[in-house]
Amino acid sequence: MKIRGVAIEDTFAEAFGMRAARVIITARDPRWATEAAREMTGFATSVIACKVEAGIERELSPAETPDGRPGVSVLLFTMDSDSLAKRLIERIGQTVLTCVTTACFDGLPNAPDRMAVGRSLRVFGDGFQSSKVIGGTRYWRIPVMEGEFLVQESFGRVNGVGGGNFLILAESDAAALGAAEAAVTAMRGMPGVVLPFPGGIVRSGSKVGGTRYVKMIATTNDAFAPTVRAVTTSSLPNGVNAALEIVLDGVDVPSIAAAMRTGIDAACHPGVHTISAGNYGGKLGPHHFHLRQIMDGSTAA
Amino acid sequence: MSDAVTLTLRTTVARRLEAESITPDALATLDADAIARLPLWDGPQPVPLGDVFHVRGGMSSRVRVAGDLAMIDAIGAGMTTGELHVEGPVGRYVGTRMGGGELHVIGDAAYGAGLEMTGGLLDIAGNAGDRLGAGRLAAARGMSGGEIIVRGNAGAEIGATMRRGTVVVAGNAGPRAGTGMIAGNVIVFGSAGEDPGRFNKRGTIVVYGSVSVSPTYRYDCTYRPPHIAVTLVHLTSRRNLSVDGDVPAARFRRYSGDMAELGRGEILARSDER
Repeated sequence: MKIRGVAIEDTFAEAFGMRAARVIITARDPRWATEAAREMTGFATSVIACKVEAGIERELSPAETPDGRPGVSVLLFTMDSDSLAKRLIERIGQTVLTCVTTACFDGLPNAPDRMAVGRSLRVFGDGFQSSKVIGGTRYWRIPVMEGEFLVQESFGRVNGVGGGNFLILAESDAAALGAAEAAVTAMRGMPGVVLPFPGGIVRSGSKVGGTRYVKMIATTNDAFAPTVRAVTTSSLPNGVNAALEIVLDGVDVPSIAAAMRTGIDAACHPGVHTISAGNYGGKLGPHHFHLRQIMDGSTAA
Repeated sequence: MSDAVTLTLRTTVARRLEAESITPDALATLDADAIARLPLWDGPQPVPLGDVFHVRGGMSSRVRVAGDLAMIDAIGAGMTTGELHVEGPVGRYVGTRMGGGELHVIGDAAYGAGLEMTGGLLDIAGNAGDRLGAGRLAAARGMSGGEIIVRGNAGAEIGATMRRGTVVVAGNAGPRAGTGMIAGNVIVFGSAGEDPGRFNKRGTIVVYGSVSVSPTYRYDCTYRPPHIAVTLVHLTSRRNLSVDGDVPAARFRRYSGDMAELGRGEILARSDER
């Protein structure tokens, strides 16, 4: 299969089950909602070292938020349920509670599995906090120097999908970056998906474990690293001098598949040789996103 | 089974009748004949419902009651589910002790509407009388859950001794709103009568119009309470309440009180300060 001259490799991205939450941050204006969202999603590229993967899903208009103010929707992912609650408490407590004019709401109100996030954060109020039930939902009012911070008592937790990905193999680093930037631009704001790495792009794709350093959880994906092509078992076709990866986490399989289709199509630029994907032979992750099926529409998206 | 049960008043009622039997819970399981045999109470004397109302339909949790019902008390008392639409002025204690479902009054409601309510929605299109959402006199607590919307004005002592829930009055409220509140919310878009929030423990009283705050409350600051914004979105989007355009941007003077009690309640009085 080729799209505008770019080969779509007959392979698949292998993704894992994760636990997901959606946090809605509102503020007086979009600037402060975005400031808080950026802080909340900082140092959240990979669970390997950051304990959480997170990203900005999209900006929200005042008509879409619980308090009628501009907002930003953030998705967070962890490998287990307990750590998701801990990360939300840490990150909302340190990056939203602290940010001027913000309030914080659950973006998965229909999820039956609930985390006591606001209920935990309320103790920052040192006994001066109070709660309000509005439309059947409880919120905590925590007094702060600016006035009050409002946070929803509980946040929903659902099964998500982490590690959706595709690789852009290009003739030059500039072509790879241009294609990756185009893919990220096209995928930004798509519902249910975030791109947790810097600018949505990963240059340090990894493999599980290490060959020389066996205690490492992950080491460089030498099969796609062009500078060691001659000294390792390379997966890079001739003529490829740079590869970049796009990693996607999502609330469900169709959201990731839809974003991959959009991103891959946008990445098929001049100078791009092949679109590939990272997998572990299908042995580790239950979700397999076959690139050709995604691009010809034969898989759910 | 029918789409709805309709009860239409046959004639003007001269004596007060108690109609606790008119709830969606009860009517959902009965056919028209059985509904007509349900008792209304004229003091200690039972009166068959069919003598007072023309009954149409049965076996439905959607109930419509129509006519001048000002002499008929306790319609919807204790209801827990379904929809009850009362078309016309209604007597005392409509929706008292209701725990769920929706009760819509297309008219005025008299004394004690939503008294000791525990859940559900009571929506009154007209005016409400005294002790809306309150407790019985001398009762330890009043309303303990649910939501009451009054689109007109309300009488005295609304939300008295309420424990949880929200009472919203689009117009003006009478004196002593929120007297003895334990917790919960009273929101008045018009003005509040004298002496609101006396003996308030943890309740919130929000007043957009004029209000006289008791000396037993202490001023904290002037600010925009974030929970008010959420409340407004809820009321406008889910309760179809229209508010003036400048309402969402309003700032409030916050007073803590009643210092004669715990002092953990509040009166939020709209401020003209920018």
